[in-house]
Amino acid sequence: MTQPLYGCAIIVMILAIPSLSNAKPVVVATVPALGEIAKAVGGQYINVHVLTRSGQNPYVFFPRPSHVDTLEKADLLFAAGFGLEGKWLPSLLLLAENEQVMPGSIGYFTGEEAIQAIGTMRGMTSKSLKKWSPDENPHWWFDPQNGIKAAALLAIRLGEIDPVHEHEYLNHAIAFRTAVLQALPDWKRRMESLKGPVLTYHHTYNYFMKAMDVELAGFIEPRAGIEPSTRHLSNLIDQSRNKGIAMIWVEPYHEGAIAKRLASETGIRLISIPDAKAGNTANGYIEMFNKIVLKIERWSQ
Amino acid sequence: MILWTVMAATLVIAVNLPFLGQRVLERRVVFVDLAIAQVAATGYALGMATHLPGLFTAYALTAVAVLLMALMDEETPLPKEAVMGGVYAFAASAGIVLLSVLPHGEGQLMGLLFGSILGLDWVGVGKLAAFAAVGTALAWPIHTNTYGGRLRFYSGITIIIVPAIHALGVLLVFAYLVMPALSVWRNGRNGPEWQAVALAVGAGVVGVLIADIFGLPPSATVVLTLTCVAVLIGIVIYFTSSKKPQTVKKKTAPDDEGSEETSEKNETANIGK
Repeated sequence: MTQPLYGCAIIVMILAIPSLSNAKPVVVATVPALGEIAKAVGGQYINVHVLTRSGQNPYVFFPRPSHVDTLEKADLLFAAGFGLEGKWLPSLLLLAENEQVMPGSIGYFTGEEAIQAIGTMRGMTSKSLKKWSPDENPHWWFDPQNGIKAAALLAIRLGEIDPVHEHEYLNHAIAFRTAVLQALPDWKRRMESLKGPVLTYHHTYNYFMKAMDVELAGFIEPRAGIEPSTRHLSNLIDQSRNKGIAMIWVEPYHEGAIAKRLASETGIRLISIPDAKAGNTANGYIEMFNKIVLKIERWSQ
Repeated sequence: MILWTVMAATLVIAVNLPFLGQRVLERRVVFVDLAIAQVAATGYALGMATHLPGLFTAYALTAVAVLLMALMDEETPLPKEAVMGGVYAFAASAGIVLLSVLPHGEGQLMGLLFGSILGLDWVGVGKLAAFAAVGTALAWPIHTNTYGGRLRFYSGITIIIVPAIHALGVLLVFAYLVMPALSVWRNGRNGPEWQAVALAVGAGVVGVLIADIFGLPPSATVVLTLTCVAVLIGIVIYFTSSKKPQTVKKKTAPDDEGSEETSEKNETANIGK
C-alpha cells in the first residue's frame, strides 16, 4: 500500500527538479521605463513586474495587497532612487518581508548605484529659481546615456543572482547600449525642429532636455505640490513673450487647469510627454524616446 | 492679468459664501460642502470609468445625494455631521475604487477635488459668478425645515459649491464658507450678514495682494489672512457682545414650527445678560 505512495512522491520530486532549475528570476521595477530597461537586459531569462503604470504619478502611489505579493516573490527590485519612491516603497518593503530585496542586499538595485544625479531647482520666484538645491532629480532614465549605464550595472547584478545566464545578461546589455547609441543621433537631429526654450510643469524632463540640448525656460510649479504664486505665473507669461518659448511640456498627470491657462494666455503649445511604451528586448525603452521625439517634432511644425 | 482673475474669483466667493456659511452654521451641517463635493468628484470618476460625460454623471449622482440628504429632518436625533462624514467617506472610497481602473486615477481624483484659483480665466470667473448667484439665491432665503426647504437649501449649496471646489480647491471654499460666519457668530446665533461679507472681502483683497507681493501661494495665503482677520474680529465681537448683546433674529418661515419661539427665547435670554 505504501509503495505506490512512495512511487508518486518520487515522480513528483523528479518533475519538480527541472521546474525549480528553470525558475526565472523575478525582477520588480517601480516605474514602467525601468521595467523596459530590465526587459532589455533580462530578455527571456527573467520575469518583469512593474508596480506603477504608464501615466501614473510615481510620487503618489497607493500600493495594494497584490503589490506586496509581487514584492514577496521578487529576486531583484529595480527602483529609480533619489527619493522618487520614498513615500511608499519603504513601507511596501516592510510589508513584503523579502530579505532578498531589502536595501543593502544583492536584490536591491537603484539608479543611485549607477548614475550621478543632477540637482533640482528651488525657489518660487524667477530669481530664486536659478539656485539649485541639494535635492537630486530622480527622473534619470529620461537621459538615454543613463539608461545605458543602469542597464550595464543591472546586467552584472542579474548575473550575480542568476549566474547560469550571466553572459546572456551582459550580451543583452551590450546590445541595448548599441541600439540606444544608434538611435541617439536621430533623436537629437529630430529635436532640432524645436525652436526655442521649453517650459515644464516640474523637473521631470530636465535629463531629457540636457541630453537633447533643449533650453529650459522655467517651471510652472517650481515646488512639487505647492501652488505657484501669481507673480511667478505673470513672470512666466512675460518671459514667454520676450524669450519666445517654444512649448510647454507637462507630465500626463499634470495636464491641469494652470498649465492650460498658461498655454491659452500665451498661445504656446501645451503637450503631454509620454513616460513609457511597452515593448520587448530594447524596444520598449527606445520606443519611449521615439514616441516623445515624434510628438515634439510633430507639434514643432 | 493673473493677479486680477485671482482677485475677481476671490471676491466672487467672498461675497457669496459667507451668506451660505451662516445658513450652514444655523443648520449645523458644516461638512455638507465636503460631502457634496466628494459626491460630485465621484460622479466625475464614474463618467471617466464608464466613458460618459463627466459633468452629466457628476450632476446626476449629486442630485441623488441631495434628494436623499433633504430627507433628513433638522430635528433628527441622528448626529447630522456624522451622516455627512459617512456620505463623504463612502463617496471618496467609491471614487478611489472607480479611478483605480484608470492609469493615473489617483492624480485625477486629487485634481477633481483640488482645483487651483490660478487656473481660472475670465470666462471661468464669469461662470463661477453665475453659479454663485443662482446658488445663493436658492440657499440663502428663509430657513424652512420642510422637505422643500431643505431640498432648496441643499440644491443651492450644491450649485455653488461643486463648481467652486472644482475651480478653486476645497481649502479656499471651505474657509470662506465657515470662517466669516463663525467670526461674527455671537451668543449662539448668527451675527449680521454685512459683517461676515465685509470681513471676507477685506481679507480676500489683502490676502491676494500679500501673496502677489511676497510671491506666495495665493490660496493658502488668502486662507491664512482670512483666519487671522476672522480670529481678530471674533475676539473683538466676543468682548463687545458680552457687554452689549446683539442678536439677529433667525430668518424663519411660518412652516418652521417651533423655531420662532426658540429664537424669541434666546433673544430674551441674551437681553437678560
